[in-house]
Amino acid sequence: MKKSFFATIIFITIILTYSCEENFDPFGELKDKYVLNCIIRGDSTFQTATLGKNYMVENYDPYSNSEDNSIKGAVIRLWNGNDIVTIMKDSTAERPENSSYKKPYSVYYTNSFQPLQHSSVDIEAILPNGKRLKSSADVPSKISAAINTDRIPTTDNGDVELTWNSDQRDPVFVVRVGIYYYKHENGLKKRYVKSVPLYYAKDGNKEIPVYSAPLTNSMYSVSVETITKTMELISEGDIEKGKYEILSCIAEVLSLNQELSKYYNSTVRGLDPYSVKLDETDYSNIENGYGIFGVYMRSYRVIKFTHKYIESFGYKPGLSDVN
Amino acid sequence: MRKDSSFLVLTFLFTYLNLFSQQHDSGTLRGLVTDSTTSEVLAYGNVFIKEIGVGASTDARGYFLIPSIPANKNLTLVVSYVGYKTKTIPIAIAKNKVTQYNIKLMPSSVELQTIEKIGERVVEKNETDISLQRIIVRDLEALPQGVETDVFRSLQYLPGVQSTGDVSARFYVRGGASNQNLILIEGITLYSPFHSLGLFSVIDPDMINNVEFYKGGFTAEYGGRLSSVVKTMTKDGNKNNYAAKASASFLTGKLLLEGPIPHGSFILTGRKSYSNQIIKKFLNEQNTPIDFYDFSFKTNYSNYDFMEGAKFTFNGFFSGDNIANSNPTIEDFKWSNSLLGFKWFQVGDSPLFYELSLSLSKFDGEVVPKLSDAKQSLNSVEDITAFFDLTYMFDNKDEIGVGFHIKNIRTDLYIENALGIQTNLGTSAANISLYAKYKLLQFDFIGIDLGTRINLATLSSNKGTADLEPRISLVLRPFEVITLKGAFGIYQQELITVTDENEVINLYEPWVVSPEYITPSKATHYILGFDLDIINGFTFSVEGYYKKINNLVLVNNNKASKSDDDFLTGEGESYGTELTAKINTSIFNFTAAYTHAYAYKVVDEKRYYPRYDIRNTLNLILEFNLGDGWSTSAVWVYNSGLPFTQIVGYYDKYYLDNIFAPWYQYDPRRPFTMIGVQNLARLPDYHRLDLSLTKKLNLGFVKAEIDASIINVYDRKNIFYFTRETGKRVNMLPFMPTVTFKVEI
Repeated sequence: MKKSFFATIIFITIILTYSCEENFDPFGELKDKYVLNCIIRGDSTFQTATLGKNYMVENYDPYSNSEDNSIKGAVIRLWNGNDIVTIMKDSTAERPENSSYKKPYSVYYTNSFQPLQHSSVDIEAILPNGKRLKSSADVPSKISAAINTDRIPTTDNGDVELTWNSDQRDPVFVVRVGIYYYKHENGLKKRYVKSVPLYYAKDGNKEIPVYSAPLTNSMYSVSVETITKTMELISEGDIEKGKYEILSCIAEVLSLNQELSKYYNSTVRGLDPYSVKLDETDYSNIENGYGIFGVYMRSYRVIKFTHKYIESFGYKPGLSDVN
Repeated sequence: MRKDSSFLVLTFLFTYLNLFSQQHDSGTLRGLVTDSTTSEVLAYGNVFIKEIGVGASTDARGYFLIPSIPANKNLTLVVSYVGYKTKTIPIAIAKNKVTQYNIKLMPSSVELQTIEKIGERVVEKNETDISLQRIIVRDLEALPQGVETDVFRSLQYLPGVQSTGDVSARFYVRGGASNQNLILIEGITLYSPFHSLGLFSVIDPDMINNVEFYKGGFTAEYGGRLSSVVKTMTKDGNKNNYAAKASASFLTGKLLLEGPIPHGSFILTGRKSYSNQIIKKFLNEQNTPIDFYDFSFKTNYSNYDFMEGAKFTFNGFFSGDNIANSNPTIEDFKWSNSLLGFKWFQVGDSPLFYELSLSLSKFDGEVVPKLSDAKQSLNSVEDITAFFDLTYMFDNKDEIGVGFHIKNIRTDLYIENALGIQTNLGTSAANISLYAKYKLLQFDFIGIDLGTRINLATLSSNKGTADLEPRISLVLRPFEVITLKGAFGIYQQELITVTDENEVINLYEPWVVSPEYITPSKATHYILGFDLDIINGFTFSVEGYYKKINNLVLVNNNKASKSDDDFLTGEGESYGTELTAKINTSIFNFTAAYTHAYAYKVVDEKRYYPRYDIRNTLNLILEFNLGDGWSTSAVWVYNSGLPFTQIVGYYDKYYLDNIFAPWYQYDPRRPFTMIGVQNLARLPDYHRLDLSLTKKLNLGFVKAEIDASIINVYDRKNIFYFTRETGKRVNMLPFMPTVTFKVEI
């Protein structure tokens, strides 16, 4: 009995060893899909849109795709309620440095469209092959930001506080506090923005910037200590501090409309480092396609640095001193 | 009005049947079967009166009851149990009384070549036990242990129970989600039954006496879940001697202490993880700083002078998991269970049992973000339950059961999504329910369990909450060799988990009461089947089921504002056929279980297969007793491929993480994987062979056991999932030998 038991086991093992691994194809059939992205700035008349197409790669690395998928020759129309239709112009632009494609790409733009408050805006793209992509979005209310100080450092050395009003239902806000400065290199001066984090967290000897997530409340504050640390980091590792010309600090707040909020949520949703999720949510409000059509309103406040403060880092002031 | 009518009907039924079920010149035999060395109760043993050919099985508490036995005659009682010497006792039954016999069985010695076993189903011809699996610890230990003997992993070998692979002990019953399984320890609900990302169950097998597992069609005494019930009864502890047992595996160290106390006994069990090396094997070599423990105690008191026929137990169970990262940019996680229960079980002078129980079950889970991008999350569940159950058995074997359950639940769930939108889903509510059921067992050819739960107060304040949950189980035995079975029931679940069904591994499942805007989930079970007992030692059974779930609650992944609902509802449907063949001999046991099943979900009018929908499953289990304390077993598992969603292309998605940057300076687009119809494609088939060899040793007063197991003997590369970003294939467990060593004093 023992012999037959072990013989059975050995037989099964031999049979099954031949089928230890099976390959499978994780790819399904590629069907043409189109992607329309247009995020309307409520405080501007200049708007852009991009139109693209999906693609397939066989090595799982979509960054290996070098073929530009932007679509030229489409007609993209924008309108605000029953207002006049604006047709966006088809143009090409150089790729920004961070782009994975190197050739110029197709971008559609208009410099004459600004949405009206409490209205809805519509977009329609008719592709060269006759396909039609559509979407609409509600325009959020304008927001008005206020700041508690006109100077950095603040007179009482307290936090810089940005507050704003919005009558939008369930609003989502994105805030950035940035230090604007020039850097003089090779006889030229180039403008940069250094974002100020919410705070710096200590990790041993390192300090890690922690940025704010999108907000649902109407207040944001940052300490002078954090701004000072960010000022130091502007020229980190550079002994020529005089090359840096500091302009000002600008606190900006964007109010996202509902569609843009949902889209943002779908793109930033994170998992803990241990959970494994297979199917990712892909939110889109583009009819017959992918992408996003959304609107945001912007408000900002400028806060000047005192010359004494700028010079304490060895930098040059770029604007007049605070009175 | 409807509820009043139900009470009247039940009262009438009880009185009527009691009056007409009286028989004269007979008496009732009641008994308790225990282990002679420890006095631990022996559940599901066989008791048989030779002269009149009637018998019964012991229940989960070790009790049996045989009514209508001719009084004042010399009879022979035969008591048998797997792994114990069969005992024959002369008995005489008093007229119109309950005669009590307490029977102690002696374990077979480890040197014995054969295991004594008699046909388990011969004595219970009409037991309404459709879809019920009774498991004793000996059954669990006979299977290859892998890293640890695990109750939930062992359930996965049963037909109708699916898993998504080796990595998780989570199980899915007949197309239901894992949160639809009611897990009970001594009748107390356990809310988070898994350690370490679901790799192992928190229930240490050393604390278990037996497990009852209903795959569906469960009777009226169980409520609150849609799919299944796992009821674990724990050991009482050795009433005769003090004993200690220590064991070690690659993952944990365990200790058990037990012994007598005046008029009772106690048992303490504890388990603690000490190494993460084996966990790395489960998690694709990912180093996860998991630390866990579980601890249980139970003490019982039974004093004839204090209260005749009464048994009081006080038990507790505690488990905790902690993932503490030394890196401050990675969040920490911790979750724990705390259960405490007091029970008074009373055996009456008449054939009456009743039980009064008071318990507390608490679950706490927390995500501590530290400096990471994670959002803080807190969940707690506090469940205070009181119940009273009464079972009365008539002389004609019919039974009536009634119960009154009060469950007060407070849940707190504080979550914050990626947009910073905070939700607090805390609530406090009570479920008050009655159940009543009648078991018709007086005829050998038919058995019926008819009952209903009556919800007097519900956890959810939704108007669509069900008042009644009727249940019926039916057994017909037209011929000696065939048993036909059927069941129907309506089940409601008001507690739900906030779980993303697309996560194949997650930390724990936070619980909340179904919100007012959602009608609680309701399932309807239909089950039909038959058993064949053609040859002694060979059984063949078939069960078919259909389960429909309405208002299946799912997390709304697209919530973007406070006013958006946190949950949405869909529908579930599943059906299948399960075939089981068993050969039991004195030398080997062989079980073959095959399942052909379908499961669907419909959400937003889209119908798809859930992650655990497996079309074909075949489990083959072979256990050999080689004698001289040696035993061996082999398990081969085959599953047709799990569903997965295919990649159907890529597109360049617009990301808003640098929304302030001008369009000409920064390209916000990055490649994004486009996926096809959800779960439409199938992964390759899964199969795996596990072997184990166990040697039991008697070294004077010390007993030792060495178990060597090999998981995935032929190193099958079973795919678990693949990462879309890289195409990297993540396989399940590789060839893995393990050794467990136990010492008992």
